[in-house]
Amino acid sequence: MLPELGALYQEHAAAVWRYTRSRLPTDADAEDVTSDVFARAMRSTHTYDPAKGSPRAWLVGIARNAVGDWWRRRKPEDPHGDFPDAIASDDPLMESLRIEQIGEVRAVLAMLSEREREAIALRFGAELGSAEIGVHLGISPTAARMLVHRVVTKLRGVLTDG
Amino acid sequence: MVDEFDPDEVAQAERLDGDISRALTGAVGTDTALTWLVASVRTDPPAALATRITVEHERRERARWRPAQLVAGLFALNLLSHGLGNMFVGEWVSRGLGEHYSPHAVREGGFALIAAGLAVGAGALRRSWLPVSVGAGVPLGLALGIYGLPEIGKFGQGAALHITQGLLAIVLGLSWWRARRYGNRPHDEGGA
Repeated sequence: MLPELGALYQEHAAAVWRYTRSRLPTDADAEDVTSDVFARAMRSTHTYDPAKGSPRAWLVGIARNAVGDWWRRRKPEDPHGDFPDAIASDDPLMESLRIEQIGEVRAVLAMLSEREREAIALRFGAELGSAEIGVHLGISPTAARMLVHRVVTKLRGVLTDG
Repeated sequence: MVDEFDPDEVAQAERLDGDISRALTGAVGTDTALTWLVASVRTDPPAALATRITVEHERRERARWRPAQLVAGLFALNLLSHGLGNMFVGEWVSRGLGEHYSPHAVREGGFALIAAGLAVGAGALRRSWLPVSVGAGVPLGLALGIYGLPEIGKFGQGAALHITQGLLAIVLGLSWWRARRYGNRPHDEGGA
């Protein structure tokens, strides 16, 4: 049984937002898609099966489709092109640090493959475990863990070289 | 499916997985790459997003139930006019049908139709009351529609009224069913 929209949002909005933001070029796009994800979710509550996973994993499945739809509409632009913008901070020092950091994130994540970026978004954005990432990517939990490990190792190398 | 990975690498991946889980709960670690990734990805959604989603949800809900509410309103007006007709022009109706006019029975029938019209109209005012509209209106409209069939060719106004009631009952039932079904419609979601 799924909670009502308010409770669903309260509990899982951050995960959906971080996932979509990790996969889309701007915060405005992430807002549009996150809003669409919850609209789709409320239309499709009957598709949720607790035996198949948590509400979060179900919502992330919807988010993956919504993000895929967004990129299909946007084609032929390069899906590796941009990493999301930072949320503006009121503190000028924090803001400049943030912009600097996000700029670096963009540059680094652009070096990853689509699958690697997806793994990062699912683990760090949606905060899913290896088993749930495996279900989404059609691989075993061990393979999902290995994928994340290899991507993080790759990023470590990039950051160290940079 | 059998995964063939280097056991050492698997062990490292498992350790990293634990480190990631701890970092995501806010624990401060020494792995700068991990700290950097967590900090850059973990931002909170804009405050306005919750309002936007709620407003959008309400808008879609209103649009979903609007056809059924509109039909309930039309059906209510039909039943109210039928009831008032019984009360004020019952004799004319009886004459048209070639029946004996019984004011007592016709007026009581009028009261009942007005009450039924108010029940059917409830769903037009508030969508949570639509089950009342459907429960009262669909069986009554179908019965009136069938009951009025013999009036075809005999009393045109009466036949038109009853056929309209039958059709409104069918449309009300279908639009309510469609709105309910739309709310639970299979979509293109994947997920767990």
